[in-house]
Amino acid sequence: MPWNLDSDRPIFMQILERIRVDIISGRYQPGDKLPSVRELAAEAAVNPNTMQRAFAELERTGLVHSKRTSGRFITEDREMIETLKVDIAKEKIQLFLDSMEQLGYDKEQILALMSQTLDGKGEQ
Amino acid sequence: MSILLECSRLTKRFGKREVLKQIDLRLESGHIIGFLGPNGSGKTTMIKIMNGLLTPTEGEIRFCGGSIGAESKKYISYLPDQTYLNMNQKVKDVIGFFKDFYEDFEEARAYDMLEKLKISPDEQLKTLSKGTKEKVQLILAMSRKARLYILDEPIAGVDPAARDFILNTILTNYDPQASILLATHLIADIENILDEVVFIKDGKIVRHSSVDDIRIKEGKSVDAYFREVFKC
Amino acid sequence: MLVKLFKQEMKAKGRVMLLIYEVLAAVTLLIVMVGIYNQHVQSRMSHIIYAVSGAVYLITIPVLVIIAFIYLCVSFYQSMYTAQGYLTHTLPVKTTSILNIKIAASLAHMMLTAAVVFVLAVISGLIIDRTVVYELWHMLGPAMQNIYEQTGVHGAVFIGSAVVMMFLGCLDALLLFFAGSSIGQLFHRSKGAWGIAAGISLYYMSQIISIFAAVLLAAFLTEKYSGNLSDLVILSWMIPGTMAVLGFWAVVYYLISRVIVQKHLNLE
Repeated sequence: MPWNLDSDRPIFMQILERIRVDIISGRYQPGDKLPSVRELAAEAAVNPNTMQRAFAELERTGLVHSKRTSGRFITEDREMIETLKVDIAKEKIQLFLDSMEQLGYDKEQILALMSQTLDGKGEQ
Repeated sequence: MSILLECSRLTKRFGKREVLKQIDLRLESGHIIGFLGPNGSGKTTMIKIMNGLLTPTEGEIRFCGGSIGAESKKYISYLPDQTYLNMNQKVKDVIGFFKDFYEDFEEARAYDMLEKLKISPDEQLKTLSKGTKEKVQLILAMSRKARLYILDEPIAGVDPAARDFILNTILTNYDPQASILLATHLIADIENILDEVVFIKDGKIVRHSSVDDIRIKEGKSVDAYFREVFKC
Repeated sequence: MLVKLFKQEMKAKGRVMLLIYEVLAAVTLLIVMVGIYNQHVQSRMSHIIYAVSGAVYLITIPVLVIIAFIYLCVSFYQSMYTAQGYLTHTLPVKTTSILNIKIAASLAHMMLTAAVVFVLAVISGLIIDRTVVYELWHMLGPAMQNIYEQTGVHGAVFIGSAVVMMFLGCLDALLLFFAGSSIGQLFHRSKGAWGIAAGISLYYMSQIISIFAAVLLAAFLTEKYSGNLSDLVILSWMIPGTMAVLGFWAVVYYLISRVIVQKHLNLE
């Protein structure tokens, strides 16, 4: 998948998000080996230091751990991944609710619209 | 992380005109640095001084602690903003020339890049298109294992596919002991590979920070910020 | 590194110089063929053809030598002060060394050209009319003896001086052009025109100063020998004097280029 990076937000944050999504969606399985900083930086066409910063943050939160010389590996802690999945989902829902509020919808209207749209999607 | 280049109170005057005004600059190794500024900002003059093509009027410039001269030129790889090769020779001749004079020149890498860009080593330089000439010059600069690469508009005259190749080459060549200084107007194209930027305006450094810093503090891309700083 | 640079310089200019040598050889071949034809036929027509061809040949040779000289000067200018200068001056070599090597290589090529012309002349002479060449050669010994008896100085000294003066003259011409072009590149526009103007001005000034020096020397000599100046005395002063003057201007022209290249390089 091509890396679509926004130009007005720090890149390392966007990389962080993207890798998190990759982990949650299962593109990176727990225990998988992450490509090296350089490889991924070249693939994403970003500065290796920026990629390194993202990796460091991933390590800090425990999503990724490094095994000395063998490289970096995705955590095997499935619970952590689940928690992250829920957290991100909540973030996205909150963003959605904020924008719906901006449009002027209240709680019932939002739920009704959501049902409709989901049913419609199901019929497709 | 070592200090590659250090300028203190660097000043350059041409007659009465002061082109560089008391510049203080420090470049460390392991970065890809954007050197950004409009025409007439002193950017080219600065680059020429770094390469020993001009001497400062006042102030100091040091490369890895030493002065600019035959010694520093061994470790600086420069790509000028124009065709500067003698056109009456073949591609392989100029590669041989570089191999002869630069200890850090990696011939295998040069031929590899030529192949990837589909340039024949047996071609006469004068028969090549402008874009191809620029690609050859870039290959020469990037085939050296230098400590500081100074690339002046490396992607300006080149098609988008080759641009990707060039940016990819710069990224895969990344060496924490070295730094790359990219002077360009095409900021949007290269912004993602930079981690540091230096803005120069009217002979002064007006900003020297990381790219992330600018995006966080200014809330916009370096390209957008540049347009703001250098609004006409 | 310097040896490498010298080799590279010789090679870079070598292609065109070789072409010029080939033309010299071809022209010599032509005159040899006409000469042989004349020796065999010995008619009035053939003599006329030979004479005319010989005259043309004698004009062509200097022209080719001048072309070689101009090529070397243009080559110097291009590699030092045009876009190619970006390559030249970022090589890991001291700027003054680059200047010195380029001067040495240009001089070497000019000397080679002189040698080629000389060898071709001797060969063509030998082929067309061996006897004349042998006669000249045999005249050399007695001529030398004669000179020694008359002047007390060995004839070889005169020949040697002539060679040295040719060498210095060539060096001066090269260095004058280099100095002129170094001054020319200081300007932003019409660098070539300014270079030529600078070269002419330098030459003019050097000639005036040299004439003054010559007049002063003449006055000094007249004083010293109280009007009793023999040709020999004049020669014994003039030869080293001319060499000194040529040498002096060579140094002046060289220093102009050197200072400009070191401190006032103006690549655009």
